Amino acid sequence: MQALIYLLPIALIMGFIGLIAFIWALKSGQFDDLDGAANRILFEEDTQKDTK
Amino acid sequence: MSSACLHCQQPVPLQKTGAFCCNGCRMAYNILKNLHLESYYKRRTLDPTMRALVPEKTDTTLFKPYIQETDGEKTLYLMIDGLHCAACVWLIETILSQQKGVLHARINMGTRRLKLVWGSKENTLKKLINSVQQLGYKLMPYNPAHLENEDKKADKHLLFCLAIAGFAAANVMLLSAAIWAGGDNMPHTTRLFMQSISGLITLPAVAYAGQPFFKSAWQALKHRHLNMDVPISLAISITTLLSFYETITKSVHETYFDSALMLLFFLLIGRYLDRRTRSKTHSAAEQLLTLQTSFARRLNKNNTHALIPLQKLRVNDVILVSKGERIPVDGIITEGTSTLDTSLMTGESLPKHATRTHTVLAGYLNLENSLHVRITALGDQTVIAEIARLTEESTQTKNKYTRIADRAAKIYAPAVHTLALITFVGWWLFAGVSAHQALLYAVAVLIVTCPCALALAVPVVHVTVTSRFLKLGIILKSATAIERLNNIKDIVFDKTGTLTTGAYVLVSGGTKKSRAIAASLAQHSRHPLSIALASLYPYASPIKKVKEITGKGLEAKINHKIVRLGNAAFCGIKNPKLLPKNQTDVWLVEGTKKPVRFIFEDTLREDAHTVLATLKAEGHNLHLLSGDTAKTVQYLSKTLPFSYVKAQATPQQKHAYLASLNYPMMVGDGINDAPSLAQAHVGVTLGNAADIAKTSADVIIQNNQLSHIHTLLFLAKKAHNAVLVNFTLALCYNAVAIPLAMAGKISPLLAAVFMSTSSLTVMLNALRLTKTKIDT
Repeated sequence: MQALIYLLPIALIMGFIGLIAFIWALKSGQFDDLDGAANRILFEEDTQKDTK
Repeated sequence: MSSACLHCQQPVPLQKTGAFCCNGCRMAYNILKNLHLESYYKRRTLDPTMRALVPEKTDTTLFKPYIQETDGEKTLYLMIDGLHCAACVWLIETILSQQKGVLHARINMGTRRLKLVWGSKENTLKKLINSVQQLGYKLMPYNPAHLENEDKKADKHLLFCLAIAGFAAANVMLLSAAIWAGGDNMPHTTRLFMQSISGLITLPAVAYAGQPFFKSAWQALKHRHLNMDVPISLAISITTLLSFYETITKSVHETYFDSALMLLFFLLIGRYLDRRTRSKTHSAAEQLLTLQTSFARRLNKNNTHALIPLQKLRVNDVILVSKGERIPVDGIITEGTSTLDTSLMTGESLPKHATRTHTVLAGYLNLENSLHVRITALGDQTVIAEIARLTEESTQTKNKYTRIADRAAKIYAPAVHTLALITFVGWWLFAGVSAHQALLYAVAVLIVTCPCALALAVPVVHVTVTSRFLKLGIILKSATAIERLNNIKDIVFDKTGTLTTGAYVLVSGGTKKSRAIAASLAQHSRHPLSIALASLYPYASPIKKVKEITGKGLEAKINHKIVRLGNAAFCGIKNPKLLPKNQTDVWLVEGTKKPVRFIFEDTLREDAHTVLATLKAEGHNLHLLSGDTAKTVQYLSKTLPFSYVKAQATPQQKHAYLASLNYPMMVGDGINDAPSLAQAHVGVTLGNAADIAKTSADVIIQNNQLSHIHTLLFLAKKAHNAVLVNFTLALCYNAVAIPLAMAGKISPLLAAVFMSTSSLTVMLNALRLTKTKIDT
């Protein structure tokens, strides 16, 4: 059972990283255009140089 | 029909050889070929409900005020009209980024907005805009500052809460699963350890993610009434706090952290879906209306004119209204003679002649010649603003409609609270259990009765039906419209542009040759009848020096003969044979040849007869209110099953008539219909309607099919049934769970299972609606 003492926090931290990643994605506007992103992946040659 | 144009896919006119319908399309095709972007044509899928990609000329002066400049970089936000598919996005982005000096060009496909950044020295605005407009897309500038409104922020906050609740629920559920699995074999300390961690996650998560409910519940309590959020907030906060208290006092009792979080998570999903249905449906046209600042050309004393924003105009200024422009103010004509299309304001299908000293209203379309207009009223004072105000007032009264979910909550919330109180008092005073234990039982009641399924029942159904409508080309603007559609008894129709197509079509008259001559003359005029004639032969050889005699007709010389196209008097015809009431005519005289008469009709929409018959058969009362003349309206009412007909109705009269009916549906498209659309229980408008009509309506039928009115009513009924079934399911579940909880038999595990299954059944029931067949 001692394993729990460090396994649980590790699991929680990993989950937390996921949450932070989602919040970052939300704040940086990645959820603003869901249709566009889904279709953009199908364009073969990507001539966009400036998709920062 | 012959083949379709390579660029815009519109049919190529018969007398035209080649693969294109017009030179604009040929040019667009060549541009793409030269840039090696032909693969666009293979990739795209054209959306038949969208505007065809026929290039049009526009002037870029209106774009200038929207440019934002910083450090030599110019930024412009644009709204795109004619965006059919992802390939269009790719094409526009590629074309723009290949232009010199463009630093950033990116389209948001969902909202059809383009952000364009370029170095100001390397390129001009005109070139950039033209490169896109040559391909057939239309661009409109807008100011992004107007877009960042409260609604958007609330949307984002909700998603934020959803993420946090999801994260917390998943992790706490994991720990709870371990506790359930461990059962009594689990050492007390391990169990306590897990419960403490659960508590540490739950407390901040509930405090943050519960805000949407807490705030709304607080608002309701402040105004001394109950809504669904009151029991929700109470259950979540009491459960969390009590479980936390249990944990720190180290008693062996069960904790409900998982239940509280799951509840919160499910409820947030419901809330988010609810919001999405509402925010997704705002049309681009509607946004444009609120975003655009309009401009007018003011005449200065030295006879020059300057483009200035409407807000800066003053009464008694004189403005210039060019041919083809909409008049932005109320005023009096001081110079010029022209024909005005007043159909959007009055519903009259034929344009009016106007000259000096005539009054004009904002919203009229100037068809023929430039006019000078002295302003008599501006902005708030104009007749159109009056209509807008009437519209707004009516919208406000409509917002008072209580949603079915709120009505359910009004009965449900007090019942739940009473039951919880009975449980607490019953156990504590009569069963002799400690107050602490009795409180635990009461909380269990609050948790299992918490209207998880009830809160999901309505939004899930609405989301499925709304997306179903969206696929059919029907946009639901207001979330409660689905519910309101169920009460409809009376349906009121507008005539011009709604029952009829609003455009005149040539029904008889003339030979091929005389029609071609008429068409080449008609090209020079914007009169609806001319447009109808000219559209028959778009490539008729143009004639030079065509004189337009306003209010009468056109005159030109062909082979030294005078040719006239216009009304009977103008062409020297005396006492022409009378036409049926819904038709009108134009004459053509070529020198001494026998005059030719072209007869036009404002045709009914194809499906008008069948749709009205079906609606009538279903027991709806049909009414016709039109601003058009009595004779045209009477003719229509003879062939269609209307039980009430009124002609020459003003916007105010229409509005008053709608107010006198119980639960009417209004179908209309003009500015003059806007107040009625807002006043009606449900306002339905068409895709080609005026912007203000779209704003005030609840439903927009994008592809202009009247038969969708029937679909609308049919699916709304189905949706209503699904909601009722969902409520019944939720009640059945409660009927089992409440007695168990009151008897103190509900464990945290059972509560969690109950909650999830009831939510799932409700969702599955709603999803049936995606497959429901539509009877016609």
